[in-house]
Amino acid sequence: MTDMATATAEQAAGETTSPEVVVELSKVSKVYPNTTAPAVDGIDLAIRQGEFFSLLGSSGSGKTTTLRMIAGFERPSSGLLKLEGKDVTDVPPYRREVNTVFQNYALFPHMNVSKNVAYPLQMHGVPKKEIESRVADALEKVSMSDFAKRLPHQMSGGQKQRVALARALVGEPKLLLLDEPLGALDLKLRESMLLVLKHLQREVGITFVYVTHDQGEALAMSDRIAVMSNGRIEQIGSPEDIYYKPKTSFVARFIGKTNLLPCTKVDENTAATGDLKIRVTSTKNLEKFDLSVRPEDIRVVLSGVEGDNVFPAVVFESIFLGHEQELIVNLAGQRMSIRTRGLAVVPGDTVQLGWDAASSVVVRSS
Amino acid sequence: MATIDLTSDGLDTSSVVADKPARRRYVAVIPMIVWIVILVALPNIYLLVYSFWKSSLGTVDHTFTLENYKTLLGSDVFKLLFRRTLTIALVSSLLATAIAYAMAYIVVRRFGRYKLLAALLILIPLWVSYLMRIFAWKIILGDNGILKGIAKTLGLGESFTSAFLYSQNSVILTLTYVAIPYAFLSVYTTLDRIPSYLLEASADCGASAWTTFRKVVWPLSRPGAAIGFGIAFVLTFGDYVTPAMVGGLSGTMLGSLVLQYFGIANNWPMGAAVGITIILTGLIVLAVVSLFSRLEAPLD
Repeated sequence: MTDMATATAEQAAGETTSPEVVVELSKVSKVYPNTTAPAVDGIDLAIRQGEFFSLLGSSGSGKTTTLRMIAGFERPSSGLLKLEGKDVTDVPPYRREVNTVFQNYALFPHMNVSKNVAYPLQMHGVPKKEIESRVADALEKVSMSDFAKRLPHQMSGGQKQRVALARALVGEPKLLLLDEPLGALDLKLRESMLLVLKHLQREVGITFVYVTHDQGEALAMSDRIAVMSNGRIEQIGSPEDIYYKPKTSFVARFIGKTNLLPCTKVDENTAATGDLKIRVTSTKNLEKFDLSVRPEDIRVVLSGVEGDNVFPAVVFESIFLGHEQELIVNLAGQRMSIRTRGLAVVPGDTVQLGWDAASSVVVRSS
Repeated sequence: MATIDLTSDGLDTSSVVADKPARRRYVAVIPMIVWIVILVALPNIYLLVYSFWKSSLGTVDHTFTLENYKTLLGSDVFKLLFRRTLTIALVSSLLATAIAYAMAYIVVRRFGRYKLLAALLILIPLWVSYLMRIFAWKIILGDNGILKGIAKTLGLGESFTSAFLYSQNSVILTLTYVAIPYAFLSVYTTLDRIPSYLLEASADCGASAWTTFRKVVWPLSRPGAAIGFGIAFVLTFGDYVTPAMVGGLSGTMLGSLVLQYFGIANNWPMGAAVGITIILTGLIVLAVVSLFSRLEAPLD
């Protein structure tokens, strides 16, 4: 995970080798007035220079509150928030070198595109001549140069989002915060904007903190992901880490599809669920835990399957998805989902499942 | 044409009988047209016609004449009253709009989920009879009133306390109070429609609270303030109850003149002419105000 972050930081900063920390949260909590449960519950977080960092979680997980605290719109109830090593816990948003791309774009409706983009520069007293050229550059970067004189209500959602992005980037902030920026766009537009964002981030080298509930977006874009739930961080790691080595059953379930088998420890390399004994690489000193087995890691054939774990199972349902096939099978009372291709089976058939010890990931139940 | 009208439902035969929906639309607006003609247009036309007639010994002479207007424009009393009325109405409308704007801003931005309650509390005085509210001011400003009592106990002289009742200032004060709820209603609705994320976005771009107000909040709420001012002006310019109750001689306004002509003087054509000048002034002010009430772009 460090390799990824370092690689991007190097791309961005050129000569910098050790990535410095841009944002640091220590034991930050937020309790909203008239509520008892904290929205953010004592999180620690360090985001590095040039990183594309995602806060991933379902609604109510505290990801947006975390972002709003970094932006300065919410004040932490307790804890410390540092930007570039300086304590900014009590610094108002307009004095922070941070810009935000809002989910609903938040373009000023009475200003045209170029005035919207010029706004942050005017606020920082940039000379008029320079403003003009920098606004033109920023619009060029998001391919919106032809729309400079348009008013926000004369543009589509995707165009507004590009302008919002230009406005957030034009001041060359230390940090760009993106609050579900693609949430209001349709699927096709979202995919193209994903690419725009990713390329832009690489090009400008600004640290991105990206809030999303879409695990696909987070996996595709991020150098590192923090998975949040109930105001806490469940796990921080690279997309590969989060996907292949989830630490809790929540993370395993939230990222991609998985099969979770409640297990007890037999010995260091063996777990038991019901009568089944499953080979694992390590039970990580846990007595009771869940096993996460990804549908695509399970091999399935009619007979003669290979693997550390081989079990017979009864087909419950076979669903044709086009590029692949989903099998729902009954494995000793547990319903399992498997991804395969071109297996001619009907419900009631018996098949053989096989997967490696490395594919059965031990996760903490949560 | 091969295109299918997606907006009409399957039962609608409008595409077959082409002129039917148009006719139906006319039927729908007829009640409104009748309402406007009978209650708005006709009385005003009647008033206008009346202002070109002449009163002779208490009866109305039905021949066209500009006599009334000539008399008015030649009268120093009318000119004085017109100037005073314009000043009082402009000052109290401006004050009312400014106060209402500040109150609406605080209610919208600071009261959170209680903002509707706070807005209602500000509007509640409208439920009390207009006359009662002016009487309340008489109690506050009057000879044995609260303000005078305070001034007396503080040992302030007669010159100070005489300013309270039966003066131009007392009229301005009372009219300002009367106009505030109306201006508030207009400003509140526009301010409430400005989403808070626009203020956050402005702060995010580095703008202080004051700059955000100047560059974002004010341009977006100016139409509401302009309309609020327009309503306040129309209300105060033609008012006669307040000057009659708290104005005394130095607080008399055009409205009182209309009352006199229609009442004691029994000179309806002259009263109508004064009435028409009031309406014209109101229209001119509204026309100016409408220049400021245009929003460059709709809020999303």
